[in-house]
Amino acid sequence: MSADSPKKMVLVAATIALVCSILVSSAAVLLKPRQDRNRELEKKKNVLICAGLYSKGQNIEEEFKKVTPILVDLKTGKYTEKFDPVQFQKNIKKYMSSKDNVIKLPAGEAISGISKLPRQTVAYIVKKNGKTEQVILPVSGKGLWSTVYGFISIASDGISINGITFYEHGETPGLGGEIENPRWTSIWKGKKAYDNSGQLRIEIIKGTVQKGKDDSIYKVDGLSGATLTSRGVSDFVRFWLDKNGFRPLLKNISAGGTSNE
Amino acid sequence: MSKVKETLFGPVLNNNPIAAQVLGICSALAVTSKLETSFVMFLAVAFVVSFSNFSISLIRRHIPTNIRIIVEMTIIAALVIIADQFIKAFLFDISKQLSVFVGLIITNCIIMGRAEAFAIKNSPGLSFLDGLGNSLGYGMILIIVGFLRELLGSGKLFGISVLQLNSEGGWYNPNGLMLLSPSAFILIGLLIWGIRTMRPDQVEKE
Repeated sequence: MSADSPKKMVLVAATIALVCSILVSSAAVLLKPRQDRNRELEKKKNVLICAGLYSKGQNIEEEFKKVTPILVDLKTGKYTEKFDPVQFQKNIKKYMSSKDNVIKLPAGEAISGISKLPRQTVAYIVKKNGKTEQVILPVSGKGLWSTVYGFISIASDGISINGITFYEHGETPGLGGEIENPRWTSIWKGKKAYDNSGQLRIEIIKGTVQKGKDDSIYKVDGLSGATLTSRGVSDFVRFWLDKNGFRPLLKNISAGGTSNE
Repeated sequence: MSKVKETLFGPVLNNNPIAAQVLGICSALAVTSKLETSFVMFLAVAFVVSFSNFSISLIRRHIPTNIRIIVEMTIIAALVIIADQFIKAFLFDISKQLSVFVGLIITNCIIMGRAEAFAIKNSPGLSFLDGLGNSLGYGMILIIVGFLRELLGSGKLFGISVLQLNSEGGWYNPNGLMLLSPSAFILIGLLIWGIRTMRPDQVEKE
Protein backbone atom coordinates (compact mmCIF):
# COMPACT_ATOMS: atom_id res chain seq x y z
CA MET A 1 0.00 0.00 0.00
CA SER A 2 1.58 3.31 -1.02
CA ALA A 3 1.88 6.02 1.60
CA ASP A 4 -0.28 8.36 -0.46
CA SER A 5 -3.32 6.16 -1.02
CA PRO A 6 -6.49 7.54 0.59
CA LYS A 7 -6.88 4.42 2.72
CA LYS A 8 -3.41 4.81 4.16
CA MET A 9 -3.96 8.51 4.72
CA VAL A 10 -7.04 7.92 6.86
CA LEU A 11 -5.32 5.10 8.70
CA VAL A 12 -2.24 7.18 9.55
CA ALA A 13 -4.30 10.20 10.56
CA ALA A 14 -6.55 8.13 12.81
CA THR A 15 -3.65 6.29 14.43
CA ILE A 16 -1.71 9.48 15.13
CA ALA A 17 -4.78 11.18 16.56
CA LEU A 18 -5.55 8.21 18.77
CA VAL A 19 -2.00 7.79 20.10
CA CYS A 20 -1.54 11.50 20.73
CA SER A 21 -4.86 11.90 22.48
CA ILE A 22 -4.15 8.93 24.75
CA LEU A 23 -0.77 10.41 25.69
CA VAL A 24 -2.15 13.88 26.29
CA SER A 25 -5.16 12.80 28.27
CA SER A 26 -3.22 10.39 30.45
CA ALA A 27 -0.65 13.09 31.23
CA ALA A 28 -3.46 15.49 32.11
CA VAL A 29 -5.36 13.02 34.25
CA LEU A 30 -2.32 11.61 36.06
CA LEU A 31 -0.85 14.99 36.87
CA LYS A 32 -4.08 16.75 37.77
CA PRO A 33 -4.10 15.89 41.49
CA ARG A 34 -0.60 17.27 41.83
CA GLN A 35 -1.46 20.44 39.95
CA ASP A 36 -4.58 20.99 42.02
CA ARG A 37 -2.55 20.52 45.16
CA ASN A 38 -0.05 23.11 43.94
CA ARG A 39 -2.81 25.58 43.23
CA GLU A 40 -4.45 24.99 46.59
CA LEU A 41 -1.13 25.37 48.39
CA GLU A 42 -0.39 28.58 46.52
CA LYS A 43 -3.72 29.97 47.65
CA LYS A 44 -3.15 28.98 51.25
CA LYS A 45 0.32 30.43 51.14
CA ASN A 46 -1.12 33.73 50.00
CA VAL A 47 -3.75 33.75 52.72
CA LEU A 48 -0.90 33.34 55.20
CA ILE A 49 1.23 36.03 53.56
CA CYS A 50 -1.74 38.35 53.61
CA ALA A 51 -2.35 37.66 57.30
CA GLY A 52 1.32 38.22 58.06
CA LEU A 53 1.73 34.63 59.26
CA TYR A 54 4.04 33.36 56.54
CA SER A 55 7.77 33.01 56.71
CA LYS A 56 9.89 31.20 54.18
CA GLY A 57 10.41 27.47 54.56
CA GLN A 58 7.60 26.82 56.98
CA ASN A 59 5.03 24.11 56.49
CA ILE A 60 2.05 25.80 54.88
CA GLU A 61 -0.51 23.16 55.81
CA GLU A 62 0.62 23.26 59.43
CA GLU A 63 0.54 27.03 59.63
CA PHE A 64 -2.80 27.18 57.90
CA LYS A 65 -4.43 25.55 60.92
CA LYS A 66 -4.34 28.99 62.56
CA VAL A 67 -6.75 30.20 59.90
CA THR A 68 -10.46 29.42 59.97
CA PRO A 69 -12.37 29.34 56.68
CA ILE A 70 -15.78 30.97 56.89
CA LEU A 71 -18.75 30.96 54.55
CA VAL A 72 -19.99 34.52 54.18
CA ASP A 73 -23.42 35.66 53.08
CA LEU A 74 -22.56 38.75 51.04
CA LYS A 75 -26.00 40.35 51.43
CA THR A 76 -26.39 40.09 55.18
CA GLY A 77 -22.77 39.89 56.26
CA LYS A 78 -23.49 36.86 58.39
CA TYR A 79 -21.10 33.97 58.33
CA THR A 80 -20.67 30.44 59.50
CA GLU A 81 -17.68 28.27 60.27
CA LYS A 82 -19.70 25.10 59.92
CA PHE A 83 -19.10 24.12 56.32
CA ASP A 84 -16.64 22.19 54.26
CA PRO A 85 -14.52 24.60 52.17
CA VAL A 86 -13.18 21.85 49.92
CA GLN A 87 -16.66 20.57 49.15
CA PHE A 88 -18.02 24.10 48.62
CA GLN A 89 -15.26 24.91 46.13
CA LYS A 90 -15.89 21.64 44.33
CA ASN A 91 -19.60 22.31 43.91
CA ILE A 92 -19.27 25.99 43.07
CA LYS A 93 -20.48 25.52 39.49
CA LYS A 94 -23.58 23.70 40.63
CA TYR A 95 -24.10 26.34 43.31
CA MET A 96 -23.89 29.17 40.79
CA SER A 97 -26.32 27.45 38.43
CA SER A 98 -29.17 28.00 40.87
CA LYS A 99 -30.77 31.41 40.43
CA ASP A 100 -31.28 32.00 44.14
CA ASN A 101 -27.57 31.82 44.74
CA VAL A 102 -26.55 34.51 42.28
CA ILE A 103 -26.69 38.25 42.88
CA LYS A 104 -27.00 40.22 39.65
CA LEU A 105 -25.58 43.70 39.98
CA PRO A 106 -27.43 46.68 38.54
CA ALA A 107 -25.59 48.26 35.61
CA GLY A 108 -24.38 51.29 37.58
CA GLU A 109 -22.77 49.24 40.32
CA ALA A 110 -21.08 46.55 38.26
CA ILE A 111 -17.41 47.08 37.48
CA SER A 112 -15.40 45.71 34.61
CA GLY A 113 -15.26 41.93 34.90
CA ILE A 114 -17.77 41.63 37.74
CA SER A 115 -21.45 41.69 36.89
CA LYS A 116 -22.74 38.91 39.09
CA LEU A 117 -21.70 37.43 42.39
CA PRO A 118 -22.39 34.26 44.31
CA ARG A 119 -24.60 34.95 47.32
CA GLN A 120 -22.20 33.10 49.58
CA THR A 121 -18.44 33.03 49.34
CA VAL A 122 -15.46 31.70 51.24
CA ALA A 123 -13.28 34.04 53.32
CA TYR A 124 -10.93 33.41 56.23
CA ILE A 125 -10.58 34.64 59.77
CA VAL A 126 -7.68 34.47 62.18
CA LYS A 127 -8.59 34.26 65.84
CA LYS A 128 -6.59 35.12 68.90
CA ASN A 129 -7.80 33.85 72.26
CA GLY A 130 -11.13 32.99 70.70
CA LYS A 131 -11.69 36.50 69.36
CA THR A 132 -11.51 37.44 65.72
CA GLU A 133 -8.26 39.29 65.12
CA GLN A 134 -8.39 39.78 61.37
CA VAL A 135 -10.44 38.70 58.40
CA ILE A 136 -8.94 37.78 55.04
CA LEU A 137 -11.10 38.49 52.04
CA PRO A 138 -10.64 37.25 48.51
CA VAL A 139 -10.56 40.06 45.96
CA SER A 140 -10.45 39.76 42.21
CA GLY A 141 -11.09 41.82 39.13
CA LYS A 142 -9.67 43.19 35.93
CA GLY A 143 -6.18 44.59 35.87
CA LEU A 144 -5.02 45.69 32.45
CA TRP A 145 -4.63 42.41 30.56
CA SER A 146 -6.00 39.84 32.91
CA THR A 147 -8.13 39.00 35.88
CA VAL A 148 -6.13 39.55 39.02
CA TYR A 149 -6.74 37.40 42.10
CA GLY A 150 -5.64 38.30 45.58
CA PHE A 151 -6.47 38.60 49.24
CA ILE A 152 -6.86 41.58 51.51
CA SER A 153 -6.69 41.35 55.27
CA ILE A 154 -8.74 43.71 57.43
CA ALA A 155 -8.30 44.02 61.20
CA SER A 156 -11.20 43.30 63.53
CA ASP A 157 -12.05 47.00 63.70
CA GLY A 158 -13.34 46.55 60.16
CA ILE A 159 -11.32 49.54 58.95
CA SER A 160 -7.57 48.98 59.06
CA ILE A 161 -5.79 47.09 56.34
CA ASN A 162 -3.37 44.47 57.60
CA GLY A 163 -2.00 43.31 54.31
CA ILE A 164 -2.73 42.53 50.69
CA THR A 165 -1.41 39.94 48.25
CA PHE A 166 -1.98 39.08 44.63
CA TYR A 167 -1.32 35.53 43.56
CA GLU A 168 -2.65 35.04 40.08
CA HIS A 169 -2.56 37.49 37.23
CA GLY A 170 -1.27 37.98 33.70
CA GLU A 171 0.02 41.53 33.95
CA THR A 172 3.29 42.59 32.31
CA PRO A 173 6.23 41.36 34.37
CA GLY A 174 8.21 44.31 35.70
CA LEU A 175 5.33 46.77 35.22
CA GLY A 176 1.81 45.71 36.18
CA GLY A 177 3.31 42.48 37.50
CA GLU A 178 4.84 44.53 40.30
CA ILE A 179 1.52 44.28 42.14
CA GLU A 180 3.04 41.04 43.42
CA ASN A 181 6.12 42.80 44.73
CA PRO A 182 6.20 42.68 48.55
CA ARG A 183 7.77 46.13 48.55
CA TRP A 184 4.62 47.54 47.02
CA THR A 185 2.08 45.41 48.88
CA SER A 186 3.72 46.37 52.17
CA ILE A 187 2.66 50.00 51.55
CA TRP A 188 -0.92 48.89 52.14
CA LYS A 189 -0.23 47.75 55.66
CA GLY A 190 -1.63 50.23 58.17
CA LYS A 191 -3.76 52.10 55.66
CA LYS A 192 -7.40 52.63 56.49
CA ALA A 193 -10.15 51.55 54.12
CA TYR A 194 -12.90 53.78 55.55
CA ASP A 195 -12.95 57.10 57.35
CA ASN A 196 -14.71 57.74 60.64
CA SER A 197 -18.04 58.42 59.03
CA GLY A 198 -17.84 55.01 57.39
CA GLN A 199 -17.17 56.28 53.91
CA LEU A 200 -15.03 54.09 51.66
CA ARG A 201 -11.84 56.06 51.07
CA ILE A 202 -9.02 53.70 50.12
CA GLU A 203 -7.61 54.19 46.64
CA ILE A 204 -4.48 53.90 44.58
CA ILE A 205 -3.42 57.28 43.26
CA LYS A 206 -1.10 58.18 40.41
CA GLY A 207 2.36 58.94 41.70
CA THR A 208 3.55 59.04 45.28
CA VAL A 209 1.37 59.85 48.28
CA GLN A 210 2.35 63.07 50.02
CA LYS A 211 3.30 62.29 53.57
CA GLY A 212 1.75 64.02 56.55
CA LYS A 213 -1.47 65.02 54.85
CA ASP A 214 -4.80 64.18 56.46
CA ASP A 215 -5.88 61.83 53.75
CA SER A 216 -2.56 60.08 53.14
CA ILE A 217 -3.76 57.23 55.37
CA TYR A 218 -6.37 56.38 52.72
CA LYS A 219 -4.04 56.54 49.71
CA VAL A 220 -1.60 54.11 48.18
CA ASP A 221 1.21 54.95 45.75
CA GLY A 222 0.48 54.01 42.16
CA LEU A 223 2.92 51.78 40.33
CA SER A 224 4.94 53.75 37.83
CA GLY A 225 4.61 52.37 34.33
CA ALA A 226 1.45 50.53 35.34
CA THR A 227 -1.21 53.21 35.57
CA LEU A 228 -3.96 51.05 34.12
CA THR A 229 -3.17 48.01 36.27
CA SER A 230 -3.11 50.28 39.33
CA ARG A 231 -6.47 51.74 38.36
CA GLY A 232 -7.97 48.28 37.85
CA VAL A 233 -6.68 47.05 41.19
CA SER A 234 -7.90 50.19 42.93
CA ASP A 235 -11.35 49.78 41.39
CA PHE A 236 -11.85 46.17 42.32
CA VAL A 237 -10.42 46.46 45.81
CA ARG A 238 -12.88 49.30 46.38
CA PHE A 239 -15.66 47.20 44.89
CA TRP A 240 -15.01 44.31 47.24
CA LEU A 241 -14.82 46.57 50.26
CA ASP A 242 -18.07 48.31 49.34
CA LYS A 243 -21.67 47.37 50.02
CA ASN A 244 -21.94 44.81 47.22
CA GLY A 245 -18.80 43.13 48.48
CA PHE A 246 -17.73 42.49 52.04
CA ARG A 247 -18.95 45.68 53.71
CA PRO A 248 -21.81 43.95 55.52
CA LEU A 249 -19.42 41.31 56.83
CA LEU A 250 -16.91 43.90 58.03
CA LYS A 251 -19.67 45.82 59.81
CA ASN A 252 -20.82 42.61 61.42
CA ILE A 253 -17.30 41.75 62.57
CA SER A 254 -16.43 45.20 63.89
CA ALA A 255 -19.69 45.14 65.86
CA GLY A 256 -18.29 42.08 67.62
CA GLY A 257 -20.43 39.68 65.66
CA THR A 258 -19.31 36.12 65.80
CA SER A 259 -20.16 33.11 63.79
CA ASN A 260 -23.91 32.85 63.47
CA GLU A 261 -26.26 31.00 61.21
CA MET B 1 31.17 9.60 14.06
CA SER B 2 31.88 13.06 12.68
CA LYS B 3 28.34 13.16 11.33
CA VAL B 4 26.96 12.59 14.80
CA LYS B 5 29.18 15.32 16.19
CA GLU B 6 28.26 17.68 13.40
CA THR B 7 24.54 17.01 13.93
CA LEU B 8 24.76 17.57 17.66
CA PHE B 9 27.12 20.54 17.90
CA GLY B 10 26.78 22.15 14.49
CA PRO B 11 23.64 24.06 15.47
CA VAL B 12 25.30 25.52 18.55
CA LEU B 13 27.67 27.93 16.81
CA ASN B 14 27.93 27.17 13.09
CA ASN B 15 24.26 27.07 12.34
CA ASN B 16 22.55 28.42 15.43
CA PRO B 17 18.76 28.40 15.04
CA ILE B 18 18.41 31.87 16.56
CA ALA B 19 21.62 33.55 15.47
CA ALA B 20 22.10 32.08 12.00
CA GLN B 21 18.59 31.10 10.97
CA VAL B 22 16.81 33.76 13.05
CA LEU B 23 14.07 31.35 14.14
CA GLY B 24 12.35 31.15 17.49
CA ILE B 25 12.90 34.83 18.25
CA CYS B 26 9.44 35.37 19.73
CA SER B 27 9.92 33.12 22.73
CA ALA B 28 13.50 34.29 23.13
CA LEU B 29 12.12 37.78 23.74
CA ALA B 30 9.35 36.71 26.05
CA VAL B 31 10.89 34.38 28.60
CA THR B 32 14.42 35.70 29.02
CA SER B 33 13.81 38.35 31.66
CA LYS B 34 15.04 35.81 34.20
CA LEU B 35 17.66 33.10 34.04
CA GLU B 36 15.45 30.53 35.72
CA THR B 37 12.63 30.84 33.21
CA SER B 38 15.12 30.83 30.31
CA PHE B 39 16.53 27.59 31.60
CA VAL B 40 13.19 25.85 32.03
CA MET B 41 12.11 27.07 28.61
CA PHE B 42 15.28 25.58 27.15
CA LEU B 43 14.54 22.23 28.80
CA ALA B 44 10.96 22.26 27.57
CA VAL B 45 12.02 23.06 24.01
CA ALA B 46 14.78 20.45 24.17
CA PHE B 47 12.23 17.83 25.19
CA VAL B 48 9.74 18.79 22.52
CA VAL B 49 12.11 19.19 19.58
CA SER B 50 14.13 16.02 20.34
CA PHE B 51 11.10 13.80 20.72
CA SER B 52 9.14 15.36 17.89
CA ASN B 53 12.13 14.84 15.61
CA PHE B 54 12.48 11.28 16.86
CA SER B 55 8.86 10.27 16.45
CA ILE B 56 8.38 12.02 13.13
CA SER B 57 11.50 10.34 11.81
CA LEU B 58 10.27 7.00 13.12
CA ILE B 59 7.13 7.12 10.98
CA ARG B 60 8.59 9.21 8.15
CA ARG B 61 8.03 6.49 5.54
CA HIS B 62 4.38 6.17 6.50
CA ILE B 63 3.41 9.83 6.61
CA PRO B 64 1.33 10.66 3.53
CA THR B 65 2.76 13.78 1.88
CA ASN B 66 -0.65 15.46 1.63
CA ILE B 67 -1.23 15.57 5.36
CA ARG B 68 2.43 15.73 6.37
CA ILE B 69 2.25 19.12 8.10
CA ILE B 70 -0.90 18.26 10.06
CA VAL B 71 0.59 15.01 11.29
CA GLU B 72 3.74 16.81 12.39
CA MET B 73 1.73 19.52 14.13
CA THR B 74 -0.35 16.94 16.00
CA ILE B 75 2.74 15.22 17.33
CA ILE B 76 4.38 18.52 18.31
CA ALA B 77 1.22 19.80 19.98
CA ALA B 78 0.82 16.60 21.99
CA LEU B 79 4.41 16.83 23.22
CA VAL B 80 4.02 20.48 24.15
CA ILE B 81 0.91 19.80 26.20
CA ILE B 82 2.68 16.99 28.01
CA ALA B 83 5.65 19.27 28.77
CA ASP B 84 3.27 21.98 29.97
CA GLN B 85 1.42 19.58 32.26
CA PHE B 86 4.68 18.39 33.79
CA ILE B 87 5.90 21.91 34.42
CA LYS B 88 2.58 22.80 36.05
CA ALA B 89 2.78 19.74 38.27
CA PHE B 90 6.41 19.88 39.34
CA LEU B 91 7.64 23.44 38.82
CA PHE B 92 4.57 25.41 39.76
CA ASP B 93 6.27 28.73 40.51
CA ILE B 94 8.09 28.73 37.21
CA SER B 95 5.00 27.70 35.29
CA LYS B 96 3.32 30.81 36.64
CA GLN B 97 6.08 32.97 35.21
CA LEU B 98 6.24 31.19 31.87
CA SER B 99 2.44 31.39 31.63
CA VAL B 100 1.35 31.02 28.02
CA PHE B 101 4.81 30.67 26.57
CA VAL B 102 5.11 26.95 27.19
CA GLY B 103 1.92 26.43 25.20
CA LEU B 104 3.33 28.66 22.51
CA ILE B 105 6.28 26.31 21.96
CA ILE B 106 3.92 24.76 19.40
CA THR B 107 4.42 27.82 17.23
CA ASN B 108 8.18 27.90 17.74
CA CYS B 109 9.49 27.83 14.21
CA ILE B 110 12.58 25.84 15.19
CA ILE B 111 10.55 22.73 15.95
CA MET B 112 8.54 22.67 12.76
CA GLY B 113 11.66 23.69 10.86
CA ARG B 114 13.70 20.77 12.17
CA ALA B 115 10.88 18.31 11.50
CA GLU B 116 10.60 19.46 7.91
CA ALA B 117 14.27 20.02 7.20
CA PHE B 118 15.79 17.05 9.00
CA ALA B 119 13.55 14.47 10.65
CA ILE B 120 11.54 13.71 7.54
CA LYS B 121 14.70 12.58 5.72
CA ASN B 122 16.95 11.08 8.40
CA SER B 123 17.05 8.14 10.78
CA PRO B 124 15.38 8.43 14.22
CA GLY B 125 18.65 8.40 16.16
CA LEU B 126 20.23 11.12 14.10
CA SER B 127 17.02 13.15 14.16
CA PHE B 128 16.91 12.96 17.92
CA LEU B 129 20.47 14.30 18.08
CA ASP B 130 19.62 17.02 15.61
CA GLY B 131 16.75 18.10 17.84
CA LEU B 132 18.98 18.05 20.86
CA GLY B 133 21.67 20.04 19.04
CA ASN B 134 19.26 22.68 17.87
CA SER B 135 17.76 23.09 21.31
CA LEU B 136 21.28 23.46 22.69
CA GLY B 137 21.86 26.28 20.21
CA TYR B 138 18.54 27.83 21.16
CA GLY B 139 19.17 27.33 24.86
CA MET B 140 22.63 28.84 24.65
CA ILE B 141 21.26 32.11 23.28
CA LEU B 142 18.37 32.04 25.77
CA ILE B 143 20.70 31.60 28.70
CA ILE B 144 23.15 34.29 27.57
CA VAL B 145 20.29 36.74 27.08
CA GLY B 146 18.59 35.67 30.32
CA PHE B 147 21.86 36.06 32.21
CA LEU B 148 22.41 39.60 30.96
CA ARG B 149 18.80 40.68 31.39
CA GLU B 150 18.41 39.39 34.92
CA LEU B 151 21.81 40.70 35.99
CA LEU B 152 21.42 44.16 34.51
CA GLY B 153 17.66 44.45 34.94
CA SER B 154 17.20 43.28 38.49
CA GLY B 155 20.73 42.71 39.81
CA LYS B 156 20.07 39.03 40.38
CA LEU B 157 21.08 35.64 39.02
CA PHE B 158 18.66 32.73 39.50
CA GLY B 159 16.77 35.00 41.87
CA ILE B 160 19.77 35.55 44.15
CA SER B 161 20.97 39.12 44.56
CA VAL B 162 24.37 39.67 42.96
CA LEU B 163 24.43 43.42 42.48
CA GLN B 164 23.03 45.29 45.48
CA LEU B 165 20.18 47.45 44.25
CA ASN B 166 20.11 51.05 45.39
CA SER B 167 16.45 50.66 46.31
CA GLU B 168 17.64 48.15 48.89
CA GLY B 169 20.57 50.20 50.10
CA GLY B 170 23.15 49.05 47.57
CA TRP B 171 24.95 50.84 44.76
CA TYR B 172 23.44 49.39 41.59
CA ASN B 173 20.78 51.32 39.74
CA PRO B 174 18.93 48.66 37.72
CA ASN B 175 18.30 49.19 34.04
CA GLY B 176 14.53 48.88 33.72
CA LEU B 177 14.73 48.50 29.95
CA MET B 178 16.38 45.12 30.46
CA LEU B 179 13.14 43.76 31.93
CA LEU B 180 11.20 44.68 28.81
CA SER B 181 11.16 42.51 25.72
CA PRO B 182 12.81 45.06 23.39
CA SER B 183 16.06 44.70 25.31
CA ALA B 184 16.22 41.05 24.22
CA PHE B 185 16.00 42.26 20.63
CA ILE B 186 19.03 44.46 21.18
CA LEU B 187 20.97 41.71 22.94
CA ILE B 188 20.16 39.10 20.30
CA GLY B 189 21.15 41.61 17.63
CA LEU B 190 24.49 42.14 19.32
CA LEU B 191 24.98 38.37 19.63
CA ILE B 192 24.25 37.83 15.95
CA TRP B 193 26.70 40.58 15.12
CA GLY B 194 29.33 38.99 17.34
CA ILE B 195 28.86 35.49 15.93
CA ARG B 196 28.91 36.70 12.34
CA THR B 197 32.05 38.70 12.93
CA MET B 198 33.68 35.52 14.23
CA ARG B 199 32.27 33.44 11.36
CA PRO B 200 31.96 35.62 8.27
CA ASP B 201 30.64 32.65 6.25
CA GLN B 202 27.27 33.12 8.01
CA VAL B 203 26.76 36.53 6.48
CA GLU B 204 24.17 36.38 3.70
CA LYS B 205 25.36 37.37 0.26
CA GLU B 206 23.90 40.56 -1.14
